[in-house]
Amino acid sequence: MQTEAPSFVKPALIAGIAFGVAAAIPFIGWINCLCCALVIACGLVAAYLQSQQCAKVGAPFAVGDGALVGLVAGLFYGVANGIMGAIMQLAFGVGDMQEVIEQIESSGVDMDPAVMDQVTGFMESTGPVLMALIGIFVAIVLGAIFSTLGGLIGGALFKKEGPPPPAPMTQTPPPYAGGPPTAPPTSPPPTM
Amino acid sequence: MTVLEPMHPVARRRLAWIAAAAALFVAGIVIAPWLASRSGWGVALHFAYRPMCHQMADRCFDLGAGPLAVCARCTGLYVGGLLGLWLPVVVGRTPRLGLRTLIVSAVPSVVDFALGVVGLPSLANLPRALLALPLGLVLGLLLARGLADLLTPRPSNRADRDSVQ
Repeated sequence: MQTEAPSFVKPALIAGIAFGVAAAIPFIGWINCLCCALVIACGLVAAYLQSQQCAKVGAPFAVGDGALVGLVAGLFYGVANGIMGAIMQLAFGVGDMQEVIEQIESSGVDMDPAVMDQVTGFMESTGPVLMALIGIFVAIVLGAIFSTLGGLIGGALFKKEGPPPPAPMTQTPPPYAGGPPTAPPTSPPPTM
Repeated sequence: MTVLEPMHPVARRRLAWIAAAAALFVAGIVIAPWLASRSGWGVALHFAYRPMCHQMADRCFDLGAGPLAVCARCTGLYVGGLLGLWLPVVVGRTPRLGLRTLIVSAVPSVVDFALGVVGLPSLANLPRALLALPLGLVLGLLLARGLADLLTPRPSNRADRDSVQ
């Protein structure tokens, strides 16, 4: 009989919060410029932690389990990253509006100045709190997508089949109870 | 030694659809600058890739219509990933790759990235994209393997019980 898999919340929480907080720190968060590497790594690590938990109790670990733990880790990542990013912005002015505008201008996109005015006007009118909430929402969505991919990759890497099912038991005759053994009755010879 | 495992035909078909969607994603990287010079939708498409890349113009390939939507390194990663998704569809088998293969494929990109962070002269765009290709390929192959496992139809529980009895 296969052991039931342990809860995936703890590995998802550990990986999500650790990577979410790290990604909000400016120098470490730059690693996400490598195609959201930190988010993908979050899912990968969550899958690894869950596979280790499963191995301890002898439960199987499937690819789908990796994707699921990656998804949940991505949600925790998004919340942790969004909150930490908002704190960094409000307390230290990191990632403020002017920096975002400079990044947009350095991307080389040939943008109509009127469109640029609309974008900056929107950012000025919404205020820092609403921008922080938008940031949390975007972090949750991106975290869920890329961390699920990371969990899927982790599931493929750390997949483990469960223990084989026990061999079926053969029927044994009941123990003999009573007198001395007698010779089995013999069948009469066939008549011609 | 890498082992190639055959894919279920249904999983192979389903994976082909996912690989086609990935091809659209990569095509968007190339189309975005061309579309941006003609329409606001192109600008929106260009910004849709913003969360995944710094989009610094001098680090992006320019095919004549402006910088691509992601940098050269990310372009190499995504093209490699696309190859990694399509190869199992074409061949009909998925390779069993380990963590060591993933780490080895990541070394060139990580070293190149680290050199840039510490301020040493960085490579030109083409070598940077080529260094990222192996990592993208391995990630794509792992993703294909995981998806093939998920997309393989399972026998129903009732069928399993009947076969045991």
